[in-house]
Amino acid sequence: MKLNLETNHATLAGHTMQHELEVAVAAGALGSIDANTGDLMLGWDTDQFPTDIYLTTQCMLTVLKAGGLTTGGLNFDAKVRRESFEPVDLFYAHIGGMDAFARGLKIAAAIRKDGRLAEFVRQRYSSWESGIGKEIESGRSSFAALEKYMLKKGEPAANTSGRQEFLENLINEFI
Amino acid sequence: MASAFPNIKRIEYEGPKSKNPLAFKHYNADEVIEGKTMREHLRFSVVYWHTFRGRGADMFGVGTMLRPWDDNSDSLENARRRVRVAFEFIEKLGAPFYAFHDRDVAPEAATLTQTNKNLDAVVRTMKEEQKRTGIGLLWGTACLFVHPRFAHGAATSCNADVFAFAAAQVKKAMEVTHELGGAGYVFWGGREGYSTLLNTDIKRELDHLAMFLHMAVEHKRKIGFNGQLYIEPKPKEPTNISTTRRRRPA
Repeated sequence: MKLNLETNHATLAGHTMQHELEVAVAAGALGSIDANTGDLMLGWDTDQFPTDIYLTTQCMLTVLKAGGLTTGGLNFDAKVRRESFEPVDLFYAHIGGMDAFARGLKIAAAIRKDGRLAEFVRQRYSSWESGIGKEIESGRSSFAALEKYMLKKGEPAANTSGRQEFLENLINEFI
Repeated sequence: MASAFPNIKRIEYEGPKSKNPLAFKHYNADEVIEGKTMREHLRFSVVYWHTFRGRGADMFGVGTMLRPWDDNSDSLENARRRVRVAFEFIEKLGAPFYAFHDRDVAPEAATLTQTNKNLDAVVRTMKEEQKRTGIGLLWGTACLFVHPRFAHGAATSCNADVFAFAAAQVKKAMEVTHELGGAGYVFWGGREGYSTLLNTDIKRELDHLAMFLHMAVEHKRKIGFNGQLYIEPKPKEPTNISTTRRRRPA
């Protein structure tokens, strides 16, 4: 079983869509996407068409990182508004959603090609690539061994900044 | 059959500078990105329910939508015509896939036997249209939430007969999904939840839901359906809280 994740369902649960996608990918459970959006001001499912470029970029960054959709797709579980009652509105709505995701795909690919975001994340976790970090990840450590290590060392190596603002600015270079 | 969208031709890519609202400004299906076409990356799908059955009704007002091709009857003729219109739309849009519920495409009858016959009849038309256009089925599913029999739940109903009916419905929906070459099958439990804990035995209901999903997997294997099964989580609505939120994928 895999998951079919829908933006409006994520936000009804108090999550962002990107959160649900990332958690699913981490569990190897991402299957398909119901591509829509909700209204954050409302407490119910509005099933609107997705037009937010930040949303579609975030979705495609995660999808590309996961290697892409295989059996699943971007399914527009979305409806035109009650006031958009002419048949042509069905075309406008779907064209908008498709263009928004195509644009998100291009932006996500550009961010990945640029490489600075991935490099920052790689650096952030670099303490796990060797030494004590590598020992822990490979299952060769224990509380006793870690205590011995830290009693000898005294204090952990210093933390470095999470750079959230820097990273949000970086994304904005590409939107 | 006359065109349902006579003034609309196939939607083409015109690029970001286009001012044509009936053209793509960014979706260029054959454009290659990271070694795959946009079409392959995005795998766009149109839903049958909102797009071809929706009329704009909400809790405070009746439907507003003009759908001149639909006589709003429950006849098989109307259902088949709707299929042709759906595929005309999806083909003009250029989306490669669609998704549907069993009850979106064919009318329910007085008996399950006749309901299944209705579904088979409309599925024949869907197969023709798939063949004509090359549009594929992304996934199929069963509607286990609209009918009053599902008021207390479907797989989590306190009424064992309702569980049985839901099982029969999913069996059939999975079989037609397989027949239509669907790449997957979805479970969204719209009524699997509770309104009040006063009348709810959570453990028993969750155990029943698990049994239902295991039976579904067993049947999938039995009929040789190789599509991907999906659980679609939703925390609430229409139920006050949904049990599917807590299910882990098997």
